[in-house]
Amino acid sequence: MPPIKRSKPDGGVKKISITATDVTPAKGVEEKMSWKEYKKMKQHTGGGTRNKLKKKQRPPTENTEGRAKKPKVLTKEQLERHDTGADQIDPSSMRSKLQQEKMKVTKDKFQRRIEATAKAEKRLVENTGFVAPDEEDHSLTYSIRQKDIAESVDLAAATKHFELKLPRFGPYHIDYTDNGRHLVIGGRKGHLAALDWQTKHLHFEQSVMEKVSDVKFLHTENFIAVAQKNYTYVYDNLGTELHCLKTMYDTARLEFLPHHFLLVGSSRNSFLNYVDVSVGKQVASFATKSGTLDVMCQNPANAIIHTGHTNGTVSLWSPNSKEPLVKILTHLSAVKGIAVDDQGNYMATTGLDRKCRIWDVRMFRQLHAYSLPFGVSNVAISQKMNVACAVGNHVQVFRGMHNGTCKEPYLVHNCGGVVTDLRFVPWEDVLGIGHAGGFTSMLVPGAGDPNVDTLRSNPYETKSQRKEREIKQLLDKIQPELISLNPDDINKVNEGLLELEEEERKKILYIRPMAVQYTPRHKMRSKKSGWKMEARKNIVKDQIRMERNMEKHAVEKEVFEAPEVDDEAPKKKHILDRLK
Amino acid sequence: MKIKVISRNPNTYQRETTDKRNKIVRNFNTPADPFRSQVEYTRALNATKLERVFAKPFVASLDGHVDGVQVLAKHPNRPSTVFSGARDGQVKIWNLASRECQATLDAHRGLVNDISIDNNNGENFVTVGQDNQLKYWKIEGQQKTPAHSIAMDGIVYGVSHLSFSSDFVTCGEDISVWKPYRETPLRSYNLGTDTIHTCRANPVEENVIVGARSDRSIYVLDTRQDVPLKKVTMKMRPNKISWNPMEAYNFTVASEDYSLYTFDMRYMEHPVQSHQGFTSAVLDVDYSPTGQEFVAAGYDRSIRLFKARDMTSRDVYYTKRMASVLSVLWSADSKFVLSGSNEMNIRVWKANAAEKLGPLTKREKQAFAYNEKLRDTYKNHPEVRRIAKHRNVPRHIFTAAKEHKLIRDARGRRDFRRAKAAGLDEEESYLPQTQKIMVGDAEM
Repeated sequence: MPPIKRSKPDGGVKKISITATDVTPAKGVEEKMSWKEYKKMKQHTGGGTRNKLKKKQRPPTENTEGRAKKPKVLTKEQLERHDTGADQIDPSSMRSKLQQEKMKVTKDKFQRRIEATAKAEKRLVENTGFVAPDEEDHSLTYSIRQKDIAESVDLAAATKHFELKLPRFGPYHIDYTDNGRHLVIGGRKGHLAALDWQTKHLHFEQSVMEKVSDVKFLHTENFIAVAQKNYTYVYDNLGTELHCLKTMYDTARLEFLPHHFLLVGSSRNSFLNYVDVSVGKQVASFATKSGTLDVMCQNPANAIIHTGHTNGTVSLWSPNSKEPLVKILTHLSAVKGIAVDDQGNYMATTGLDRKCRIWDVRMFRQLHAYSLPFGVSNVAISQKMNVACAVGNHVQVFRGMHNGTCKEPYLVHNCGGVVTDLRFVPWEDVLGIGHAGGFTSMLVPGAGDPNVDTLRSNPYETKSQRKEREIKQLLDKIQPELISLNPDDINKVNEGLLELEEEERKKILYIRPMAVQYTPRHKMRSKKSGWKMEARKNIVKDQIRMERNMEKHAVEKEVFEAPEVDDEAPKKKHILDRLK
Repeated sequence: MKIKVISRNPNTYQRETTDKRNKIVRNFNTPADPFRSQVEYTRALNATKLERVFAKPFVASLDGHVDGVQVLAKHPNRPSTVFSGARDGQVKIWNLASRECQATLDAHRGLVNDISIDNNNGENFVTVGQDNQLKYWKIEGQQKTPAHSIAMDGIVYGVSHLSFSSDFVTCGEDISVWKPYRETPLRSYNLGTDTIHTCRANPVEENVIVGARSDRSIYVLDTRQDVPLKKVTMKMRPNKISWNPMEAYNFTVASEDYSLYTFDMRYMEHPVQSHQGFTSAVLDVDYSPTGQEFVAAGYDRSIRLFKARDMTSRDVYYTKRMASVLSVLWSADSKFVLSGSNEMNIRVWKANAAEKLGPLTKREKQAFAYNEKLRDTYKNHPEVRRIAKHRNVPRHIFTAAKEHKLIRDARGRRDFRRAKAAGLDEEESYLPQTQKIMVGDAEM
């Protein structure tokens, strides 16, 4: 893989001709539109192309007599996108006829689901963001400044680019809620502020008068965990201190596992602490014995914690094991940043060796490596697989790093201070940057998924919806014991355990027979002579020995005697056989 | 150069005013939730625990009898009407909806042996008692005297109406087919010297009857023929019989050997399934109208609910003061189970212990259906299975079950060793439990 060369466009900043694509209707967005108006607008803005395409692909009409409406035909790609493997269900593999019929019904149900979800695609109204250069215009996308992007998009989107200049309190660590609506920033000097960053409504702002190492939202915007000088504290949305977690001592980085309600703190003394915030109990705390843990991230797909170390390794941790589940040598120098994508397929790591490497987290294999300028630290991955790397004072955003099509940065932004934290906002084309000079909200067209599934995470959540979600989330809390590399393991037969049990059983063969210990109970009522007592002892000892031997013989028989291969079924004796 | 970033119209996602519902926008293109199976498992575990928490099966007690409740019978077309007969000869008619006794009849001197209601119009019923009397009653009019009564030659132990008919069969010294208001039977079958202590007419085929005799034999009879169709003999006495109303070729026998056996009328050499769990004799059995389940009454002061093809019971009900259960009934709406016991009470239980009674909202229904599906999907996970299967039983049942297991295992070992000593092949000598309990060859 050739290193990326940053070629500056000729003559400094090139003048770019930009035409905005504004999808907001001319009248504004305040009123409900009629369906006709909406359709007209969509056709006008080019949003209705999908419908046109579909019309073309419709096959010749078959005989649909008796039906007023013709069923809409779905394209093969559409069906494939929603395929959950219903075709692989084989009803004939079931033993009884009843079960076969039942399985047929199930298969049918799954197939109908695929069609229904594929049909629902036409309801996706939002389009992905993009930067499309004109054909004759050969300007590079990374020469576009944030100011130009903000000027060329609609007003509502332009307000999403903003800067908070707080040079006296930095460098800053930041975090967004799961729905991407709320932002918390924490400056090294103790400045702490939480806000709804879209409306710019400030929840609270205060100084904790102590060093702040990291900030993290818990399951809602009402709880904020802050790693301070000694302990980790929990604040509410008004800045009131709710808890002081003294077990999380000298924490460098924080992570929150929303499905498990676990707050994870990596300590500078190499400890990893798991605290269940729903009951306030420490679930696990162990020394990783690998130095300061100041690089940490979670895999959102399986709740495994990844930590990066100065020796270039990345370790994967679960609360159920004091040893790392996996250790990967990622760089030949210290690891400075790790990020895992939402599906848990790719991991991006950056190191002091000026490389950004993309890994397959399921195979633990490197896919691609890119050379970056010096001063690489943090890294973040967006919903649409854009990778943002912090390079000194700059942030470079890349596209197609995971499939190896990346040749140059997509966007570059100079923050004016050393970058300390990067987070993409879910469901938005925005990258939040915490740096020495404050906070920058950067527009990255095409970073987020435009269509929200509000049952999963809702950026427009009301208070009552939040309350309901909180309760549902608590009811569905997964126990920490279930954290494993593959969350689907629970639906599979534990073959490993079965084998292990078998192995344990076989061990009986090779263990030396233990001495049988038996001391008869002292009974007052029968005063027996010494030899009688001894005889009684021997009887019991013999019994125990015999039981052990029986067990051993059973295993021996199982292990050493090969199962009989009966080619011929034993013939039954016929009554006339004696005459043969 | 064109640039576009995500810019949503909030009106698509937010409700207009607070008195409207929140909008839900779905996107099925988002990848599946990676924690789905774990969340489902957690929900299944919680649903299983909740099911056990809400398992409060006892609904009501119908008291009024002054002696043990010997027999319970349900009305063929009025789901809330139930008949009960006690050991002092009293018959009571109950309304289940109001849980009130509608009529009390001093029907017999001595035990009421059996009650059967007319299948044709449902307006008459027949009682037979230990006093050699067969009495014919009208339900309407609250009459205290029978419409007709016949003095029989011997004690009549059972009576059962033929399906879709006003005719009925009685059993005792012989089996007789009767028409209402006739002094003499239409037809009589003399099956030998042994007493026939129970008989049940098939709920679908008008002419088929199954009965049990005190020589431990079960026979199937066609009233159009002169001699019984089939007869098989068990090692222990069959106490009561109930037909499966949906698969009317199957019937279940409550046996003295602590078990129940389901027979297929067509292949009667041995039962198709044994049902175990009682620690004492099984005295009565009754099928659910769905034919999927049945309930059985045990002398060990408990009642058990079985799935029709399962070996072990799905649930066991008991209370502190319930004496040995003499009669049992599955209500016609299939929601309740009734048990009449020796200490004079009739108890009403829910058929599904954790079911919520009364009208349900749509969301409740959906939630219950979802939970049931989850429990079914994850029923084989060890933790879920442990919680779902666990039943706290009285000490006498617990200890007896333990003891019986020991005995059963010992017998198994004994049989195995005997077969081995006799030089028999392991597979050849093995007899399933359903075959062990039969005696000799079946007369077909």
